[in-house]
Amino acid sequence: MEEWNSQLRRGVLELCILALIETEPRYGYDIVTRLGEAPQLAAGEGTIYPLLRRLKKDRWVDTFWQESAAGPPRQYYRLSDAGQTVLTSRRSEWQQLVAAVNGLVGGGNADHA
Amino acid sequence: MPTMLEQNPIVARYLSQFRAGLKRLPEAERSEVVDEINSHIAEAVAAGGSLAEVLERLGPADRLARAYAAEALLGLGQPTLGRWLKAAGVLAGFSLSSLFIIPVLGTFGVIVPIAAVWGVLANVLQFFYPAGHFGGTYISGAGPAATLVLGLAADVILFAVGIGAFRLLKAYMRLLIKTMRNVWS
Repeated sequence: MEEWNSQLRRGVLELCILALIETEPRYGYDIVTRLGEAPQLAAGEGTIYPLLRRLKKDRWVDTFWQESAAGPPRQYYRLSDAGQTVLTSRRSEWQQLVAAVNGLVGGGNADHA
Repeated sequence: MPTMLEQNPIVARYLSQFRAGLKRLPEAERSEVVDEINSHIAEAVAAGGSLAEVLERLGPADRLARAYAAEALLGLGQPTLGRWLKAAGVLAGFSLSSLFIIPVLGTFGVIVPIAAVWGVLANVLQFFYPAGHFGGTYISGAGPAATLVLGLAADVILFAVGIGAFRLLKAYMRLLIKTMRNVWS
């Protein structure tokens, strides 16, 4: 159960990160704060930064450094073409999964087509 | 003020521990990762967090470094069909060439320098004791002094060739190891 939970959370976390940077590049701290707004994800900095690194290695995201007025330069993450493909397919998989699970679990207002 | 944060001894210590934990990453990558965490600390403190809080949320420096190592492995370990085929191809290619290259270079690289050293000794002995049979250089019609000079020159060339072969062997082995490593990263 614990293993399943952590695998599921990782996958969801990846999806959330890709979705967050779909329309505009964001820097690490910005991503961390936004994910922190959903405490159910239980995504701490210690998980998110290494994950961002891997997304970069897999070339799902591109990065660039930009000076910040307030402090040291920030590393921005931008969705790559490969990342966009992954996001599009995972998003639809996720929506189908949620719909199917809601139907089975009985989310109250599960709407069957 | 946040610009100077990395000079704070607590932050400096955290970052240096973190950097030390990332020793398996290539240097350029390591610097970038450390810079990003440094930037995070500055942002979080500028947003109103206390330094102690911010560092606690990041977790101990060595654990954070291990999380990076674990992620890197996840990206690396996926044994795709393409990767297996590539590894098999590299191995087959190298085995075939190694079958020839390693024995030949090995022979030249080890035996030839030894023979050259022995040749020097034999030529010198031959010069001083012309009656003995030392297996030194023989040049028909040449006097003892000329034989010594020419023989020593030949030994020097032989030695250089042998060392060259040994260097080539070393470079070849290094290439082999590096190529196998690249298939998996």
